[in-house]
Amino acid sequence: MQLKKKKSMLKSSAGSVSCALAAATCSLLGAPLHAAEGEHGWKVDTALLLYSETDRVTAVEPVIKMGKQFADDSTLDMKLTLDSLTGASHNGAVVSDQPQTFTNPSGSAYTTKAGDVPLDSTFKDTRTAFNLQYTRPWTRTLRWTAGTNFSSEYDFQSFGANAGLLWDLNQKNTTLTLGFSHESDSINAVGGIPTPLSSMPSATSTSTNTVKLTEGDSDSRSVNDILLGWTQVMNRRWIMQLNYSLSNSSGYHSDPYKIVTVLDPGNPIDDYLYEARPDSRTKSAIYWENRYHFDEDSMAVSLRYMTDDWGINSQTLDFKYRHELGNGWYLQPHLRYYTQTAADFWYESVPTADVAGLTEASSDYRLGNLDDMTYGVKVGRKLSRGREWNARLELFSQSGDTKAAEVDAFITQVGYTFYW
Amino acid sequence: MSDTVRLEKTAHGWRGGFTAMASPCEVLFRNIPSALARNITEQVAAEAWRVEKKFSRYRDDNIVAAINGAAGQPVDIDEETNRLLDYADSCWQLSDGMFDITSGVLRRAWKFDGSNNIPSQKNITPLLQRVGWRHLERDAGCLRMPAEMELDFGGIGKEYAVDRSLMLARQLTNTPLLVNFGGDIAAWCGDAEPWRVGLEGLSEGKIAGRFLLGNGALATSGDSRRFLLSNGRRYSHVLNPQTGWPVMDGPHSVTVSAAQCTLAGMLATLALLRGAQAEQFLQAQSVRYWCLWGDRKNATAAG
Repeated sequence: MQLKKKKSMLKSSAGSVSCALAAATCSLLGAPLHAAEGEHGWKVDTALLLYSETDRVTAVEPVIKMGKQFADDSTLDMKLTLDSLTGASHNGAVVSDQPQTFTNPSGSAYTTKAGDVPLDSTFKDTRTAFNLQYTRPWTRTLRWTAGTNFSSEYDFQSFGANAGLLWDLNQKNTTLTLGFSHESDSINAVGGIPTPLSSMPSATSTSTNTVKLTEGDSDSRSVNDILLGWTQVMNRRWIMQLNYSLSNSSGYHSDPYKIVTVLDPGNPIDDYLYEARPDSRTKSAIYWENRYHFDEDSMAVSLRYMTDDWGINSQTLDFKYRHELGNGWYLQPHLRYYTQTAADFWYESVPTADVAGLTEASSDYRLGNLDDMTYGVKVGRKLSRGREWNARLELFSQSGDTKAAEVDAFITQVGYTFYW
Repeated sequence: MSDTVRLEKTAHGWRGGFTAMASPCEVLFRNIPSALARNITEQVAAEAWRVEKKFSRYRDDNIVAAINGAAGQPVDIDEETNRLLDYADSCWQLSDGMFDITSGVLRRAWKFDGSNNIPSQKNITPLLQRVGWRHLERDAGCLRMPAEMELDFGGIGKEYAVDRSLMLARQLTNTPLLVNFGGDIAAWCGDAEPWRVGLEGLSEGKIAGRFLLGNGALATSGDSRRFLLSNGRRYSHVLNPQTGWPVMDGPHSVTVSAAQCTLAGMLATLALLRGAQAEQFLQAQSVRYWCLWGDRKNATAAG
């Protein structure tokens, strides 16, 4: 076919071509901008985290996150986490001025020296977790989101699903969120699920108690959550987010490996009982986050308040300040303070006389009074095409009611982000 | 092609810089957080690099290479390339064939290195047979170009990238912006104070003029550094695709202000192709323009 000529339309004998040229330019540039751009690639975040408690647990955690925004503005995010934990964790028993002997879940004995925190050193686990979340515009102002998550350890499996709606209002300066999620957990304890408040069998030959009472090999728990969120662009520098969440769980909540010491002051230790937690828990939490952009730097401050029907109230204050050093480099100090009150059934130890009337008891320091401080710093560099590397070092320091709650940990992480 | 983006503070905001199309490129911002300025600069750079990669004639992996290497076979044309071909067609018609994106082969005879190597007519004549937009056949989504011919979007690509970059950046912010790819500029400032733009003179570093650019564009076409000198005559690198010889007696450089950078650049190029009549042409277009005619006295004296 011959080249079509539009001479009659375009040619101007008057010598002025600017009008015709302007029209041609408009049709050249008039096409929607995204037409030739194609889709963005996958954003890939990779990170390796090392968590190391002094004398206790060490965790190595590689994480890979992948996200993609499609041409129809829908987004898909995936996250794969591998956790490898080794070390020792507190078994729940008190620190004694006498050596103590315990039985680990697989039935062999271990001894804790006088004055030491009783640690079960058989603690070893590998966890694999996978999350998938898809969000898609529905109408001009509504988006829906749905996701699923899966987590597996040798003695614990969890499967969850969530769905939600996001509603953009006020020229997208306001977003309201409504979300629901459900999670089913199954606990397959090594050595069986111990009967709550039954005695820990003693591996020592002098003891008469050698049988571990169990209630099957496994148990389950289900968790339902509802989330209400409000994100507000306050001005072009300040974004605020307010979330309320309500969580209800029912089923097996105890840690099948944790024990409570039966002890009368001034006497030797009488017994160790497997802990018993309530079979349901209702939590509600309010989270308030503020992000503020200065000319170069930015800052994020968040507060979280949580209360539950176990008697635990907690508050978290988190502060991050990102200082731009120029040429893509940034330095980000991080401070976090966490405090919680103890659960109603938390005991450091239980007197013999109270055992008969006891229905719920735990000595897990994570359910006691706690005060945590985290001091961290992150340094990173943004590169072209959205690439970035960063490194983070944090010091975590915890104190509580007992020596067992005193945990210091180092967190180090290196990360690299790129588009694929 | 370097792939780094730099961000530096200016008196009123930020300057994002990178290199593309063999030119220093910049995006100027006012009153905007650095993270957003960096993000926009990165997206603008990505668009500039994309246009460069897609339409550069120096690559062997793009649509231009596919067309030039097709040896007379039809080539599938994507929508964006088709729009550029439509534009090139309009420019060819409006210039009576003086603007021709197939004229690049003439550079095989002409090497504008500042020397006095004027090619002979017997070197030029065979090349002329390989020039001519009218020889191309276009059908829906398809282009057939005779073998031995070459297509070159060099006269459109950079200005097109500037316009697209400004459009892209404006989707990301409503604060004032200026995109400058090696002197080809598009700016937006809404109702805010216009940008102050300096025009480069014939000698490097000298400012020939200053003016205010609000919402619009500016492009320069010229030969200030690419020409031949023989017997006192200056042979401009602007070639007449019909004769194969340089357009003589024209200005060294023409700068035009228009609504879009692509339009400004094309008007400047068409003015240069008019040679001595460049200013008459520009006056007929009712646009703001600046012509640098160089030092005529010297040229005359040397002649």
